Amino acid sequence: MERAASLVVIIGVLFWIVSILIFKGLWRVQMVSAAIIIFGIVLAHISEEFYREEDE
Amino acid sequence: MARKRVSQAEEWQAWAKRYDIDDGIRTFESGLTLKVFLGALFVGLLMMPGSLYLTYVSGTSGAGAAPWVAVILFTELARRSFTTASRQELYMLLGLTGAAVGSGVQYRSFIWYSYFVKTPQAVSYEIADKIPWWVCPPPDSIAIAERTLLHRDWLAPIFIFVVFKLLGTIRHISAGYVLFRLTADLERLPYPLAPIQAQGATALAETTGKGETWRWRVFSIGSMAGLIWGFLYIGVPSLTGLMMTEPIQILKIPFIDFTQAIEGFAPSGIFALYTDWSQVVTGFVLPFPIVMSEFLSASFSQFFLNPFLYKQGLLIQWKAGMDVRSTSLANSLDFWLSYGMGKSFSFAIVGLAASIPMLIKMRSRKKVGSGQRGTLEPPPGRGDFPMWVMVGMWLAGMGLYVFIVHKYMVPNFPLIFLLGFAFLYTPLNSYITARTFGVLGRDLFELPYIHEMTFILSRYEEIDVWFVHLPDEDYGRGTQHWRVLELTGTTFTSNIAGTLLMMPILIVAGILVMHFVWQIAPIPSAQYPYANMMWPINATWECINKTALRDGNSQMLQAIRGDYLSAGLTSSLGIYGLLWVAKLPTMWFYGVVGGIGADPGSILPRLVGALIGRFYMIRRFGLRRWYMFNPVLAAGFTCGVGLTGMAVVAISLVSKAVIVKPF
Repeated sequence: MERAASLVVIIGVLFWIVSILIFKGLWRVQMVSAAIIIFGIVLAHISEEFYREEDE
Repeated sequence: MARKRVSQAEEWQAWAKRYDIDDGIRTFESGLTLKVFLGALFVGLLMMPGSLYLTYVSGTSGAGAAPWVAVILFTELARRSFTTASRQELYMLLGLTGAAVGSGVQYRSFIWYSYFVKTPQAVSYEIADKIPWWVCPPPDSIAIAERTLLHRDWLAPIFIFVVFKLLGTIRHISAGYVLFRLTADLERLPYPLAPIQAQGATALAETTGKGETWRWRVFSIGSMAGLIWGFLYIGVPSLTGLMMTEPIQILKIPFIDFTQAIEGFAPSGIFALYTDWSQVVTGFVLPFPIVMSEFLSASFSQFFLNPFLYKQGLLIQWKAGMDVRSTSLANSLDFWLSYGMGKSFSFAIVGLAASIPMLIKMRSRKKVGSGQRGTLEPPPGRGDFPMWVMVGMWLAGMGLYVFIVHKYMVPNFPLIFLLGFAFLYTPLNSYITARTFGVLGRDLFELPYIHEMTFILSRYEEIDVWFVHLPDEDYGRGTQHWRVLELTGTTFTSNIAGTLLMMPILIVAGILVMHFVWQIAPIPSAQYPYANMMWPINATWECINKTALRDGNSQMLQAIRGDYLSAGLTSSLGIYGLLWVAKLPTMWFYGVVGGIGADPGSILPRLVGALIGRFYMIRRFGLRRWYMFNPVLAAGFTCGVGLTGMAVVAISLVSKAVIVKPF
């Protein structure tokens, strides 16, 4: 779960960099990358709350 | 070796414990006693007329220091009467006296609009005859001609004010409480500035007991430092200003501008060194990672990012030779205004992302004791309420408020916007502010020109809507007060009872005092120099603002750009996500994002305090002792600066009251 969250966040950030460099910072594309990062952050917190004790 | 992940739960819990003055172990007592109530009423009402008068004479009310003066008077009386005062009583006294002293100022809009309605500016901008009945009487009213608030023409504005005051109190108490439970109980955010007031009250309470502890010594050191600093920074310019045409400033107030000096290597960057070195004391108290990352991020913004944005053609209004104010305004309109809005939203999103899984888990797991992150279980004896009661109170208070505004004040203004402000914007705004207060000790969320945007979108063209207090509120600041109550061990019920008992007395007393101040002389007039100087300019600004959208256009609104706003939101979320991936503390997120776009010179005094604390004080006293000392020191310092401020205001008042005769 933790790895999945990290992966989603990194994909979101890379997509944001692409949105700035290739799509000239078009707000719609940036918001898509924001949505991906938010999904990653939610996964991160779910993993902290629900899976961390099991992992340990 | 891989870095061990410290979960947000462990991180916040550790910081919350560090800022807890009694290691979280305390008994709760009522702070409301008859002597506190009468003491607050007496001192507050004694100082309120002076505070109100000073507002019109010098523009400063001195109200900030009044509660500390009241508490010191109270403790001295207690010592001489061979009795004691508890810290609960003293904190309650601080709050109630502050409310009493400030109660006169809440009516100043009555006097302001009595003046405004008759100004040539209001007439020429065609506003004078459109000011609604619930704001002030018409310009030809005898109540305005005779300068009296005790007239039936004032019945409607005063009635509306009192009803709104009552509903506002209900909303602020209930919403503030709910947000406190979510941020302090559930999330265990540390509220780093809350121990200052709590430790101040505790230190002074100890002086009335038999044994004085380290707290009183540290408080006294802080007070002396505050007195000296207050004299140098506030006293010297104010007192020399009374005697000379150009006051002497030992340190230039409020900053020394180096913006033009750095433009050679950092075009469009700003750097103004703020000279209010009392911020060093705040730097002692705030978490070191926050201050450090804030400074680094602000320096990066001004020395690298702004020049880069300028070269890319995003900062188009900046010209060489501009000072800090012009550069800030130009950069803000070009980029940072929109970016800042986006980054503010990220605080709400990361807060919700952390809280929602916690709430889900809380419902499914076994009951955990109070004081632990992830539980809403209150400590015993704190005087808590069921959450649903408080949510219900807020809904009722807000619903009734929206109903009155829609039904009687602006019936043609679209209801959907009022509901949007009340039930979407206000909770979001308040939650973000509560979180930023919980971590940074200050507000970071601001949606500029939100009223203007709403009025344009609504296509509403009447002027009356500009005079309505729209239901966009912020209860987030109030959450810190609940945390101080908890730290001082004051029961919540006693605080609410004190507020509600004082309110009717202060409403009546405030009107009477305002009436008598107005009776002394017209406001503005030569007897009230500050109002005399500023009010005509303010009237012009008010006319310009209230008519700015007549052609459906505004330069400020055009400055809000969707792509920059998205960049602010996405980059901030990306920083949060990457810090999590790198297993770094969340504190860095608040510091880095808080500092982006800020002036590093404004953070430098705080950084000096944080560095001294981190690399000298902690080594000298040890971590635990230093975190016990520094809020007491800061409380003493605030008290010392406040006392100097009051003394200066008193001398200014006497000086302005003396009429020099030519023979």
